[in-house]
Amino acid sequence: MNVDVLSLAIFIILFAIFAFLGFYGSKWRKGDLNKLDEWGLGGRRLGWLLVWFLMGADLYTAYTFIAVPELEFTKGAIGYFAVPYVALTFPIALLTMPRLWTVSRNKGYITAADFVKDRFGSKTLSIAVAIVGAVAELPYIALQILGMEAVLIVLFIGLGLPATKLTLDISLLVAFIILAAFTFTSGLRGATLSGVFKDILIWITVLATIIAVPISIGGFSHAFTDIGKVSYQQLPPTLIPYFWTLALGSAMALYLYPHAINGSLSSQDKDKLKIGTSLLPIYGIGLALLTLFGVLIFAIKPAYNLAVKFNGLTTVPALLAYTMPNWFNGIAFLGIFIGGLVPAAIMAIASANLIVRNVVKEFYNLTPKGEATLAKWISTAFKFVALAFIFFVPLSFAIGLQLLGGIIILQVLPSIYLGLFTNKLEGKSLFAGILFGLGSGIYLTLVANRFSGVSTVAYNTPLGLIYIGVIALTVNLTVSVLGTLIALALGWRPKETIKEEELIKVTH
Amino acid sequence: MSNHYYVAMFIGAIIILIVYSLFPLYNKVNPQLLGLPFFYWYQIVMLGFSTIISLVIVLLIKEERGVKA
Repeated sequence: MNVDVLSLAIFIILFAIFAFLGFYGSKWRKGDLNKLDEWGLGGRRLGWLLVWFLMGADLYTAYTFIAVPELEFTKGAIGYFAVPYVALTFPIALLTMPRLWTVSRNKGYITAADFVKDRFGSKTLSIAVAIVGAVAELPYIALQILGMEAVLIVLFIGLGLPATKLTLDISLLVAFIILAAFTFTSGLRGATLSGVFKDILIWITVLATIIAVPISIGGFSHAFTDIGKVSYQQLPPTLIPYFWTLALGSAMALYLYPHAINGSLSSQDKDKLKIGTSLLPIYGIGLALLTLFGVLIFAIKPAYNLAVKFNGLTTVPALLAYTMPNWFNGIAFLGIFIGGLVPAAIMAIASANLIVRNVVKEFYNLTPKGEATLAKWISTAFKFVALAFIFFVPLSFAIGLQLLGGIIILQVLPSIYLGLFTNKLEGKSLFAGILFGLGSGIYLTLVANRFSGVSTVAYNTPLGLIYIGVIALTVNLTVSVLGTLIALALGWRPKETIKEEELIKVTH
Repeated sequence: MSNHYYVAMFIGAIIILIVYSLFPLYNKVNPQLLGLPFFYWYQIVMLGFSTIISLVIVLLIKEERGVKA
């Protein structure tokens, strides 16, 4: 195994540079960090390349390095649903985010819940949207922690250290304190700057490995032959509905997450946001290649054994450890490690923004400074809640965390995406839709897992296995529309609080 | 909705959805590329196609056109 003291030394040196960049972020393009939109939206001054990097940091997370390759490794071709997911996500973002960006600039919104409150005139609805957004981030942040853990496991084994629960927990805690400290001081600026650094390391890792490994094992066909199962070469026809709904559900979900919306709103202008977003599928090519690590590993027996030992969680670091040189693994492991840290920071910042602006402020008056301070503390607390999530929610597969988050976050789709195109939905009905959507989503998840640890997010319907997020969203939409029809019959009429041109043009 | 940009992007999204819904076309092993089954490399190539569709719409169709201000 090519993981040794040199790998560790490079890992630590690069981590120091990373931490420096995080702290330096507070001095970069200086703004008043005691204001929430300075701390949380980078002062809305990011150009298209930085938008691209920042949004890429949202997408290129432990989900990409750890969860999807794990799914490919354990279940085969179904893991490739992540590719159409990426392909579909960005057209959906390009339909919705420019409108949200514009109306936010015109009206001074910082979060999607700000918009929802104005659009539908309902405080209850905006509080619900904020809470759903923040809660949905928890399992997503937890997934990042699992990803960091996967790297540490392989690093420890390579160094001959015992990879016990105690040693892993301690190192995770140290990493988290550093993360919390730099998020606290630098906000989104720190995360963006260190995100660029992280992405460069990751691109180097992915491209070098995907060229070197297939050559060294004599082509992909070798790995596929070693697996010997058809379900890895193509999708079993019975899994097509599941594959399709996973891709579609995930694609609709991504830009509902507070961190993705936050990233979009931090763009300097709308054209930069659009260009940055339309180029994001390029990241998807990296994801598609990384997913194939879950196949390649079958051709390298010791790496395969190491991955099996941890149920596939360690697929990518194990493959690297047995195929690439020791110095390279120092770089690659750090890339994957901070690939979990940076998104976790961005997600925690976004959740904190939401809770402060749209929940706490509804009940207490806060000064701008008090607002920013509280958000910093909440973002810190959030990371530790997510850490606790891993310890208390029994899970048998990493991607389940992200897909659980998807079931939750999809419930705000009618209020946000549809709200960007129409005001002809009634606030209370949308709220009822969220409740029914969440209720059915959670209930179906419990039933599908027979009320024990979460091992699947699929529900068996007459049409075949379907992603529960899509079913729950259908329930939600039905309730929202029926409720609106009843309200209309009772004399409710939509109010035009936001003009169409305010969604399209910066008016001042 | 009379805004050309959103109409075009919606059509673009539908095209991309269709491209990835043609299972009888791409859910097969052959022809392979570098030992990779067709199922995999078709999806990777279509990522490039999807990027081009979005980018072309973004660059060519401006939102303000067709807005009565």
